This record gives sequence, C-alpha cells and structure tokens, in this order.
Amino acid sequence: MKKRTKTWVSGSLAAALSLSLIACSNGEEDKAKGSSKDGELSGEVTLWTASLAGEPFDTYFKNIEKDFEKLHPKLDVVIEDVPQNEMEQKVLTSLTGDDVPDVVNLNPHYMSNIAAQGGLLDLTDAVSDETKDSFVEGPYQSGMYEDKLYALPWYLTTTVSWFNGDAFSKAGVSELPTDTKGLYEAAKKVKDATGKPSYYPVINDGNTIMEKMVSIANGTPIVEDGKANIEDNKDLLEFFEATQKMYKEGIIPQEAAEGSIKTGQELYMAGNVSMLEGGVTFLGPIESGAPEVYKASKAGQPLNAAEAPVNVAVMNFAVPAKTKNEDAAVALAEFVSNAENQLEFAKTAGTVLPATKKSLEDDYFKNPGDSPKAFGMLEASKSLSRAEVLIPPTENSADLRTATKNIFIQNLQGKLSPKEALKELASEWNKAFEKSGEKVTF
Amino acid sequence: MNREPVVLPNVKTKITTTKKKKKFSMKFLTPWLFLLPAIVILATFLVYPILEAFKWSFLDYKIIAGTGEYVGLANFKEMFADKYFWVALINTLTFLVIVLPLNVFLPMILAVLVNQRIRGAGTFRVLYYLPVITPMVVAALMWKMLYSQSGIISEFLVKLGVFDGPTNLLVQSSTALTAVAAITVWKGLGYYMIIYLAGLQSIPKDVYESASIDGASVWKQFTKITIPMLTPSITLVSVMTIIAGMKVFEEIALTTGGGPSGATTTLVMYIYNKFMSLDVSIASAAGIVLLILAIAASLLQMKLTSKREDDLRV
Repeated sequence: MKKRTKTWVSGSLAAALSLSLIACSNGEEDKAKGSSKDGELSGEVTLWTASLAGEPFDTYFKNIEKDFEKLHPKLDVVIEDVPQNEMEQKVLTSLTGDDVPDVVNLNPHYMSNIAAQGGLLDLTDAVSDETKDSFVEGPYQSGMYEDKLYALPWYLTTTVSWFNGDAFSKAGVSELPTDTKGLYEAAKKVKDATGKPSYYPVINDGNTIMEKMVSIANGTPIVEDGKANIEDNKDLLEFFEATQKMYKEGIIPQEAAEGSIKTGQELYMAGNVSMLEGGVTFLGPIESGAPEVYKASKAGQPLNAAEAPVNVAVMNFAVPAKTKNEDAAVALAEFVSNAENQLEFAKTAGTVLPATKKSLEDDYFKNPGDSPKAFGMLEASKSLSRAEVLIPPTENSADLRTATKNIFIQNLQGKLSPKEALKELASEWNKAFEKSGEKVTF
Repeated sequence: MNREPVVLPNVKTKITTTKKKKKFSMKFLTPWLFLLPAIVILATFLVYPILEAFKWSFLDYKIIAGTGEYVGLANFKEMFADKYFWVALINTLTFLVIVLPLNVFLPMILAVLVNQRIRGAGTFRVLYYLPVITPMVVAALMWKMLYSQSGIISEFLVKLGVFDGPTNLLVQSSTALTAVAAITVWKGLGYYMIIYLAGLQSIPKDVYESASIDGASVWKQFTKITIPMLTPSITLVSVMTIIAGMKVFEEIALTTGGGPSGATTTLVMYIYNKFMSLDVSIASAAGIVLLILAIAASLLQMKLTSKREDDLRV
C-alpha cells in the first residue's frame, strides 16, 4: 500500500509536470506561427495604444487595421487599448512573460528604462533612412537611447499656457507673464481679484518641474556631463523663491503639492485656479465637463522668455524584443507613424501635433479654427519651432524625477529654503548619475 | 465440526490485516488530498515568490532579460544607504502606531454598543459594516473630497480653531499620514467589530449577572470581564492589523500617491516604486526586510498576548 501511495504521489507530480511542459510548448508553437515565410508578412501582429479607447479613435484604428491588412492580406492586425495609468504595469508584466504585444505606445522615459534592460528591439537598421528623415528632429531624438533607435515618434504635444480670460479681465491682467517676476505679479493680481488661488505649477512625477527648470535656465545646462549645475543659477533660485512665496500666500493652491495635471484640471474646471501650463490635450475634459470655463479659456505661449526652449512631450511606438513577428511589427509601427496616418490621427484627436515634417505642413495646423482648443493648437504649433525633448531619456530617470518631485514640494511647503532645496536637488541628481554612470548634458 | 478448519483463523487474520492496512493508508492520504489544492496554491503564489524575491535580492537582476549577476549584500547596502527607504520604514512604523490602538479599541467599543439589546442595533451593525464592502476606489475619492481645502473637514477644523485657514490634510506633510490612517481605520472598523461581536457572544451571560449581583459597575464589568475574556479576539485583531498595516498600499496610492514629498510613502509603496522603475533587486531586498518585520512583529504580539492569557488562567 505504501507503494500505491508513492505511485499516486509520483503520478500526480508527473501530471503536473506534463501540464507545465504542455504550457511551455504552446508558447513555442505561437512563436513559430508568427514568423513570415517567402518574404510576405503573415500571422498576427498586436499593437497597444494608450488611453485611446472610444470614438472617434475606435473608427480611426479600425481603418488603420483595415488598410494595413489590405497591404498585407496574410496578416491579422489586432489593436488593443490600455489605460495610460496601467500601461507601465501591463508592459512590464507582458515583457516578463511570453504574452508580449508586437508594437507598443510608450513615453520616452519608460522606453529608455526598458531599452536599458534589453527589452526593446533596436530599430536602427530595421527602419529605412527615408522613414528616419520623415520625422521632426526633436521627437525623433526622443526615440534614441545610447545612440540607437528604439522607438518611432507618433504624436506630440508642446507646452502652452492656459488661462481663464474672465478671471484675467476681472484682475485687469491683459498679457501673460514671460518671466518669474511677472508670473508672481500677474498671479497675485488674479488672486486678489477672484479671492481664489490662481497659479498651479504642474509637478506630475517630477518631470514637468525638470523641464520647467531647463526652460528657465534658458540655454545654460542644468546638468553637464552627468553633474548637476543648478546651485548657482539665479533664475532657478528666483523661481524656487517665487513658488514658495506664492504657496505661502495662497496664490498657489495647497493641492499643487499633490502635483498631478489631473488635479490642476479639476481645480481649473471648478474655477479654483486660473493659470497653468500644459499640452493642448488639457482642454479635452474641460470642454465637456465645464463648458463655461472652456469658453473663457485662452491659450498663450509658455510662461518663459520668448526664446527659451519649451518641452515637447512625445508618444512613440516601440517594438518589444520578444515580439513573435518582428518584420510585421516594424512594418506596422512604420505604417501607423507615417505622415498620412499621423496627420489623420492629429485631425481625429484635435489636440495633438504629428511628428512628421510633411504632415505639419498641412493647412489644418495653420488655420485650425477659432475655438479655444484651436487657439491652443495654434500656440502649440508656434512653439514647436523652439520645442525639443528637454530631458533626454536616461536609465536613472526614475531617480531624478522622484528626487525632483520630493524636493520641489519641500521647497513649495517651506520645509527647505530655496537655496537648500537647490543644493539638496543637486546632491540627489549627482548621486543618481554616479550610480548609473551616465554623462549626459541637458 | 468440519466447518471449523484451521484455515479460518488464517483467513480472518488475513482480512483483519488488509482492513488495518487500508485504514492506515486512507488515514495517511485523505488529509493530504484535502490539503493538496491549498499546498499547490500557497507554493505557487506565496512560497515561490518569496524564494524568488530572496534570490533577486542577492543579484543585480534585470527582470526583462531574466538574468542577474550575484552581488552579495550590495543591494541591501544600497537600500540602507537610501534615505527614502528610511523615510518609508519610519512612515510604516508611524502608520502602525496610529492604526493599531484605534483598530483594537474603537471596534471593541462599537461591538459592545451594538451587542446591547437596544432598538436598531441591527441597523447600526449594517451601517458600521458598510465601509468594509465599499470599494477602496470609491472610498478614496470620497475621502479626497472630504479632505479637500474647501471640504467639510477643513471647514470644521477651521471653526474649531485648529487651523487659521482652509487646509487640505492630505497635502500637508505633517497631517497626510494621519489622514490616510483615518481612512484605513474607518474602512476596517466594521470588519473588526464583527470579530469582537463573535467574541462577546461567547462570553457566558451568567458571569455578568454574578458581577452585577456583587455590585460591579458597568465600567468594572467592561475592564474586568469583557476585555480579559476578549483576549483571543484582541490578539487576532492586533495581528491582523499589524500585517495589514505593514502592507498598506491601496489607500495611499489612491489618495496621496506616497506624497507630499514622501510623507506617506510606506515600505510597500517604496517597493512598488522601485519595482516599477525596474529596480527589482532593491525592491526584493526591501520586500525581505518587510517580511522579517511582519513576522517579528506578529510573533512579538502573539507572545505578549499569550503571556497575558496565561496570566489570566493563573
């Protein structure tokens, strides 16, 4: 009987092992299925977009699917949407398993993190020079990591200023400020006139403050060869002093310490903030959620000197290294990001700019109409000439952003003096660069 | 007479032996068969990940490539040198210090109150249990509104003279952790109340009757009968609170995201952030520290309360 028990146990173990082996072998079969034969693309290719579900995007992507399948009849295109806030988690989960998408919409910072671990396909030789040349230089560079191309730029938004025209009229402010001193004065007037906080500095995960710092430094690198260069920068000190003062005086709402643009959006919609900087996409929820505020909204150039560089936020397409259908994945990424499709996408979204030179020449971007959103688009295309990816993708970007967010908030709330904050920030950045050994300048 | 051959005892013996063996084997196998699903699930989702995390904490592990170089204790050294780790550790312990007494005593008081024979006791039980079944996303949104600068809590505190002007408790470094802890306590109140209710109902009524006859006041009955006899429930609630408090995540992620400037970043948030920035070896090292702390705290708590139980028995 003991023997029978042993047989039972070993039988169960064998069955469990067989099941796991069957599971493994399925993966291999899938891999084989995705390969292309006789030069023609075949099999299945999956593309993940970020927070682009619902109309008008569903129709747009259905057409993309249809058009690409017409070009490659043996190919089955599957386009899935993943909520933006779940994207990093889903990408990470899929990359550590076997169920990877073939093309994925990423932001440059996460892209560099994954590329540093060998998770993305090097597209340098996979993409033609013609395709490479079709993109605007700045956005194209955002897909580069350590001199290799890992992603193709898709759509962009450049920073513009948004303000509530009614609140500004009430305060007698007719022009948007172009420096820190002007920002404080204008924001104070609006606060005094409306009795509510007026300026919301967007912090997000720290990236927007880093970008803002590059704009304020206006040509003086804030990091040189992997070494922070901010402690003696008078313009940055002035900005840190002004924001701390504005928070103390209630000009900046307390919720700004939370940092997200979403909170800024909610406050703006409720009329509890009158001025902030963001992309054109900022107005989307306001148009439907607070039509009166939308009507009163006006766009302008970012709140810096006219010649200061402004940031361009790029969404791009990368191909995971574990793709089961490499050729089809690259072809699909090129197809979705070509000039024609990018122009169509920008028109569909109505709040973004394309990343290809040809599509930007379209009349749509020169005469977008007279809605607040259209004025935003106009300002965004105007600032595109001085827009670039201000913070290059680096391996240590998460450390840099965390330190920036935490220290900027400590400065905002007066836990650190502006001088101490800049010193502390420089020290944290230097530690992050020492750890990663990166020698970047920005 | 011929029907009693020598064979019969042998057959009997044979049958008896077979039966005994059969009984023994089933006795041995049955519990294992019942335990097998649990063992498989625990091994897959608990033991294996712990062992993997342990392995990764000694490697410079690249999760996407699935490879890592052995680096000894380097990850632990790096983690202990990171000031944000210490901030997270202190926040976790502070969170526990706030939540533990509240979770132990508030539900106990509620349970004693709703255990009375009063009208509407059932309704109160349901009302106190509602937060338990409210999804955390909904609860977090609701509390965010209540805590906002123009919310009712801010207004109340200004009227009480606690603050000079409207204040959002979630975005002040000094109050954010307590504000989140209040959400945790509110959410767990009904659950722990049910545990205490079960404990209260197991206390014999005649003990209270005898105490009343002897002239013991309500307070005396509560401190000398209720609390000592609820010791097993107190142990259970404390251990559950310690474990839940150490791995608190949802309410923080949904209300403050760990901010402002790390004021509500707990160990689990620290682990999550490190993991999401693909620093999985540091995340694993922090996970091991969390595991050790949770085991140590639970053992200490159990030892203290079992000592108290022994004292009571004496």
